[in-house]
Amino acid sequence: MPSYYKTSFNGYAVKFSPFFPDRVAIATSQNFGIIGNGRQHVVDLIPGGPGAPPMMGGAAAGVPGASMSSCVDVAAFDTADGIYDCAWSEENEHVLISACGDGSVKVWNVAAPPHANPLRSFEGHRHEVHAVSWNLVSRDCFVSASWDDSLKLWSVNGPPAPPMSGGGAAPGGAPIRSFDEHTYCVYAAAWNAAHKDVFASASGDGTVKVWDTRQPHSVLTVRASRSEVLSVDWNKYADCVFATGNVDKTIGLWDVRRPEAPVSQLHGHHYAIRRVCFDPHSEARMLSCSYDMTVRLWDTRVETENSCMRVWDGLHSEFCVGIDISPLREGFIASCGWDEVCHFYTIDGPSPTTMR
Amino acid sequence: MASPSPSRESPCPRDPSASACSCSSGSSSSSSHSHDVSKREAPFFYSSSLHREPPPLEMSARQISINFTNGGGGGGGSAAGGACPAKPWERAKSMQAGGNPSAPEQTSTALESALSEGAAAAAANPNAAAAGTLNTQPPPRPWETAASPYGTAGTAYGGYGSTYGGYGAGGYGSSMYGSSMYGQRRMGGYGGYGGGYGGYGSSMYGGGGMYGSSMYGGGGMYGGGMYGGGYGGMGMGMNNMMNPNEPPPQAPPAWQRALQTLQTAVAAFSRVAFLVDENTQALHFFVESLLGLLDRAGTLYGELARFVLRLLGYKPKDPALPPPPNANVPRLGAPPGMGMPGMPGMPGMPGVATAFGGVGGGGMEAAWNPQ
Repeated sequence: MPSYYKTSFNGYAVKFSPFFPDRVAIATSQNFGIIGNGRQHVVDLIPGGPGAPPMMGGAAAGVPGASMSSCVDVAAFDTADGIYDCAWSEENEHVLISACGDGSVKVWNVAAPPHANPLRSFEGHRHEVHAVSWNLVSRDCFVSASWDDSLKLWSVNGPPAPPMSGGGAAPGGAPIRSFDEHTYCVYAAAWNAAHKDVFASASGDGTVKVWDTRQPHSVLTVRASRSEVLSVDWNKYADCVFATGNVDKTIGLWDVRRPEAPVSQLHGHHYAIRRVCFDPHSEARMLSCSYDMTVRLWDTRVETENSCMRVWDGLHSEFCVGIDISPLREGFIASCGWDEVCHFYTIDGPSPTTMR
Repeated sequence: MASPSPSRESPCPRDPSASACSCSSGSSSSSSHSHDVSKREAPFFYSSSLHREPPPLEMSARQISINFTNGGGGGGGSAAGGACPAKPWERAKSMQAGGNPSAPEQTSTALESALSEGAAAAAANPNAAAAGTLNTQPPPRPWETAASPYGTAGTAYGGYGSTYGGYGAGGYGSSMYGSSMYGQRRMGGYGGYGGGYGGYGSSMYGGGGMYGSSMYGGGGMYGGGMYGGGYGGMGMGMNNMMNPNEPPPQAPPAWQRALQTLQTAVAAFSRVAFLVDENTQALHFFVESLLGLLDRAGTLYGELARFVLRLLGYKPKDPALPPPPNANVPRLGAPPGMGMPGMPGMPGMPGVATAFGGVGGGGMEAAWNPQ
């Protein structure tokens, strides 16, 4: 049955663990991320709850709050600034990173005791870090996108810098390199699923740049939108294809072999698209969430007019800003928003409802 | 139970080489298994405080590194078998490749070649905005590769070309596109644009009102040889029509500058006026309060004096009464400077009780003249 998890702050991102099918990380920020603290939730969904076939009728209806009981807190990490994004480590099942509003990237270990967290704090950005993305192929590095117009590549396996005298987390050391070609805030970054050196970055200057870490400059600049580009994600099967979520209410599908024009444009959202996410199980399916509080499922193989397969409306009562599709359980989605609720549901299942 | 410290739980805490080992290789089966069981049985919830205590001193940098690479107690070898489960796309690829699961490092040749061309172009001209304009064969659209109602593969661009052709025949006229601008090698690039316009075609150009009336009919934009500017203007106007979120077109720069100058002057003047106004008000209040203070101080002085003198026994003189007969006689009781006529109580006044009873008839004079 569909379930949800109530966070204490406004949700900003939700990510499924690549190791455990039932583990989810939710990045939240106080006061809509404008000012205040942040909290990184790690939640276990009880097996048999959301993944089970939907329970019909009175079995679940007799138990008020039954859906609530299917989420168990594993850990919660507090930060002094809001958390805008999070990403799981691809090489260690207990490690995740958070993009913090103070320009740092914090590394958490779910299995470590509280005084050992954060394990490290990578500090190199001058402004808010808005997105992090872990390398999907080489799995030993990640990239962070910040509002100081730059992206930085970090390795977690390098020697940490000497700990500060004041205690606290060990600083994470210097970034491997910085990518400074954007002329406005960088809102998203995404590693290619097939190539260990290639990632894309989406920026408020309206461009998406594709970077090869072996090259000194960006290898491709796509003028993706007249307005800002808030999100980018690679197709997991067609490795030349990526999608952008734009402020002009369109989703652009692009091919690096033909970067002058979009392969197609998907219309349907009524406000800016906040996040796009390709299904790891299907080449055609894509998920998007928007400031119009809806989550939409697209089939990129169908022509543009009919490509919207499903709309989850009324799911969130505020901006929907985080979505993810489970890489281990096919068709399993999570979405979170500023209404402090994180929903878990399936692509073809019934639409979840919040018991308020 | 609380989870034990990862530095103690780590399989090889004192081995310097452990800091370099990855999570998969750093797992020793016994310790990781035991810890794994305990961790699974007791998931704990904690919330680290904002002002957390510093880590214990024995956790040196090296140990932190060890903790990190070993997963901080997990040993790396848990249910996941030490490595991340294969991603669905990797599984699909390995199944295609004949069941070779250890091939995630396969790089895509198409992406590689496309990006290497882009890199070469970017290296040749780093400042070019069109660093990514590659002359690779454009891929077909996704719905054209699959069996879809949109036509079969291969004829896709024929379809688009026909749309474009119909366009040119109907609206553009041959004079614009046949001009020298277009006969050159930019054809490829505009082919791309044509594709984009084809995507728009059904919804936008069908509206027709905008295009027929002003944009293309004006002709100044297109005929004037400024094709790029005209194109951008057209796009802006079009998006403006279709998209209310787009900003409106910009005013002429000279007009913008003039307005900005005017705005600056007005802002400066309003600031000065505001300051002057504030100062005037402050001065006014200051003077007003000072005058009020002096006024009240005088009143207070009189009241206090009357009070003190009454305590001392003087009676305030009723100003309605006639002056006493011996008003000119200097009185002894009045302090120096206080000998105001009529101020203290006068002896022998009818109807006034003497303050000091028993001193008959003498009044205050008697009080100050011991007998």
